[in-house]
Amino acid sequence: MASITKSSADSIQHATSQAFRLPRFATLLIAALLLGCGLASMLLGAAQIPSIAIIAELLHIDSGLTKTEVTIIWQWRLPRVLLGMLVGASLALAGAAYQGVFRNPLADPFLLGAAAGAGLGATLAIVSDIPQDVTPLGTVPVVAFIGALVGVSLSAALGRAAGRSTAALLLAGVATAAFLTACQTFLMHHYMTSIQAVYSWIIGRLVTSGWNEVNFITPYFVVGFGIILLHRRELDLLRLGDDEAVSLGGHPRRSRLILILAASLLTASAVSVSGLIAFVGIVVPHLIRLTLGSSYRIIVPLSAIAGGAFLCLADLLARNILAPAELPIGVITAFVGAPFFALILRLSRQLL
Amino acid sequence: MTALAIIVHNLSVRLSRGLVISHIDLCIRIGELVVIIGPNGAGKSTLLRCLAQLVPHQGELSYFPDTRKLLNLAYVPQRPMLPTGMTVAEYVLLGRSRHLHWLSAETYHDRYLVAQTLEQLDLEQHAGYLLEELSGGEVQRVVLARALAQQASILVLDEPTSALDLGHQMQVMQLIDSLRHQYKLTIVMALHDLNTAARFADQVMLLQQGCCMATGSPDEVLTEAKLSRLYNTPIQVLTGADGHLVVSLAMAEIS
Amino acid sequence: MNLKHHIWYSLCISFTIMTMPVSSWADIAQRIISLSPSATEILFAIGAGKQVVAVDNHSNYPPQAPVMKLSAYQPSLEAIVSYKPDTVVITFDVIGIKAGLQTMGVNVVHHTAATSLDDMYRQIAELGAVSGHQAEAAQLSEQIRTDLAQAMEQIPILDDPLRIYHELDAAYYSVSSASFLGQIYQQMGLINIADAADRHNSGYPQLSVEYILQINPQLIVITDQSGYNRADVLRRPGWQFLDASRQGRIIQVNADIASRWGPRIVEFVRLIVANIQP
Repeated sequence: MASITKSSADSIQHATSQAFRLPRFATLLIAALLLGCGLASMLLGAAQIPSIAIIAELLHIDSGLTKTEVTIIWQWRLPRVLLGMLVGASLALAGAAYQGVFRNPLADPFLLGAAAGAGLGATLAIVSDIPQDVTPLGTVPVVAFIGALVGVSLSAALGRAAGRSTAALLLAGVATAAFLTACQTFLMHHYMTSIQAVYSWIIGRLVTSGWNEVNFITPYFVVGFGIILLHRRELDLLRLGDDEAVSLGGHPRRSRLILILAASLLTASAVSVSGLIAFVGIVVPHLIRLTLGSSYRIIVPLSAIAGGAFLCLADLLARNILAPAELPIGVITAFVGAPFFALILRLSRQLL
Repeated sequence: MTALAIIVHNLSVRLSRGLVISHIDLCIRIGELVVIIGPNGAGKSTLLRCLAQLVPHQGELSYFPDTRKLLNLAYVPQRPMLPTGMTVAEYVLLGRSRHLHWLSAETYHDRYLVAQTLEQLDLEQHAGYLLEELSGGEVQRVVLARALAQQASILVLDEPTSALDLGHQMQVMQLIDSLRHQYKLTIVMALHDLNTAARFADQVMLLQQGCCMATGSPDEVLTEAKLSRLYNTPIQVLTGADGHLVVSLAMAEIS
Repeated sequence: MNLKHHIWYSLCISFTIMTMPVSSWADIAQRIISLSPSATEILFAIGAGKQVVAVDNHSNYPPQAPVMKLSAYQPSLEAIVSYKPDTVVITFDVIGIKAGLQTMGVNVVHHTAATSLDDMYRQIAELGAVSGHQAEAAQLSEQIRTDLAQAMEQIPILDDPLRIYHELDAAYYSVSSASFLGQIYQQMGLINIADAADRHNSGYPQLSVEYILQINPQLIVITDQSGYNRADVLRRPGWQFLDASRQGRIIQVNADIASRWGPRIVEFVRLIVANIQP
């Protein structure tokens, strides 16, 4: 009898002390994965440079590399690796936030017309005669960014007109996306010669021009990450429904608005520099949820790290499988992500 | 006379479908258990949500001591949403949300309080369980635990026993009653079961189509005439061996 | 090798012409619609311009070509038929346009994008046959052959052939020797850096920018349609160190000329040749 009491006291102790805690080992593992992918991505690439020389160069030790090789490392490879991490983290975070806000496991960052808006914007910029060097970043990303925000705003306006529920907003997103995609398709057929450029943008790519893309996306990432991280507890309360969230001291309406805004900004900035990279935003949060816990206090920070690692790894493959040719990264994310996700789903069903 | 907890005066609630609650008056004292009774669609849930400040209202609704800024009131809906993948300990810990600042995490004290609450409600073994693994009676206790962890002085419960069998109904009601005495909780709840209401309530309100038909002690309110009118069917009220009222449907030929 | 090819193709073409039904000799196309900018250029070059009643919206050369609102990518049967053509030249057989036109009794010439000069000569010959300008077609092919040979004679003979990088867009898509343009580069004796990246002979591989920088091309060709120019290329980090940049060999070419297989290919070759003089 005494032993039963003791073990139940232990289990209650364990359960209460572990509630909402980041699993330390898994967190370290994912962080190590991110660093490992980052390092591997720095060492491997189409340009054959000895690993030791790259490490020496990164540590600012005399590496004996040529000017071109130094440029490749600092101006092309490093920003690209960082861009992969930032885009992956942004999409995974946005996906996690949308899934929490809409309480819908199928929600992904491209849900509210951000993707369709960005696609239309990019197509407009590609087919029109406006010069491509309006900003240091080029014209396409900027117009795509604006397009993504217009897409989300249209969805919001339409959803507002249809009612205040999240379901109305979701449906408005579907309608907006369909409309904007139709516009884009019309443009593409009108300017068939640009179809290749538009297509390569749609399937997603991580092509950088130096540090411009990284510089552009970083502030949005920092702000978006910060806002969503601050709302991780609100996201958990949202899972209880509005009434209970309010009575537990939450602000579901305000939080939803802020979270949608932050997630949309993250999506817009990611999409504008990398096109429509599928699968990251929906799969990564689910992987974390299925393996490590359903609380957003775990999903939000770990999705960001895991998303960064995942896209970094996908880009490593995209750059090296057919080197010196490149594969579109969107193909890799779906190709690697889908079977992996199926495996996790299967395993987690066995666990339950 | 104990002090007042809630004063409701001339309270009305208008939803999109019309006036759902009209001109209700109610005085609730600290430590009282108030039961709201009425047929389906009478507005019980709306009245409770209004007391929990979840729907806008007209009229006066005051809490004492006046804590409008930070009303610590625990509200449990009829069918609480049970997020999948959440453990019992996590769910109860959510009750501490109101006591946390933006940047802070739950402290040792919060976790200790949760452990204590779980122990008190005989949920030690279930602390690490997922919510979807629990039985109906366990779920009710877990939801109560969350409300208690909130350390609110007022509990608003919407039919806390509706999903339970007779034995568990009684267990949960006895638990609520003992907690109320232990922590001096003020409790407002909706109930369907008139016998339970008769046994535990200090004050009963009969609600019909959003209007208050009667308020008062069970003895005053749960009369054959009033109940038959409320439910529009003949009802018999007897006094049981323990002195509590027993309410039953009367056969047409008896009446 | 080349000669053998030519003989082989000439034989094929003669055979085709000989086996054509006799009636088709009399059926010389009088109302031709071209949904292919390359075919438009060829038809006008062989003197069949008067028989061309309409061309697609991208056929912008020669200027006298009757440009109509016709799309080669989304062709409208009704729009095409409204010009009462007897022959339609298409590059893409999409949405069943070929079968549709044939059931209406319209002769369809389906010329897919040429992947070699021989391909182009064959198409010129066929267009000549269809329009009744066989002699002019043969003459045009001969003229292109001579002009190309002449231009290529001007190519300096180097111990190490020049490495060329042809850039299609900002994502570093390029042309390999499996494409029409790549074949011309090959005949010019240039080393195409895209070949290493095109193991599957797709013709249009996407290159890694690291690879481009490391392989250090001595000649870079960009088109005027990509939305950026020489100066923009030079602004990319590290590109100023490339041999092509230092020797001023970043050439911007007309995208139309560089994407069509037709008589103007000679202009293209001359431009490249002029830029690789030491």
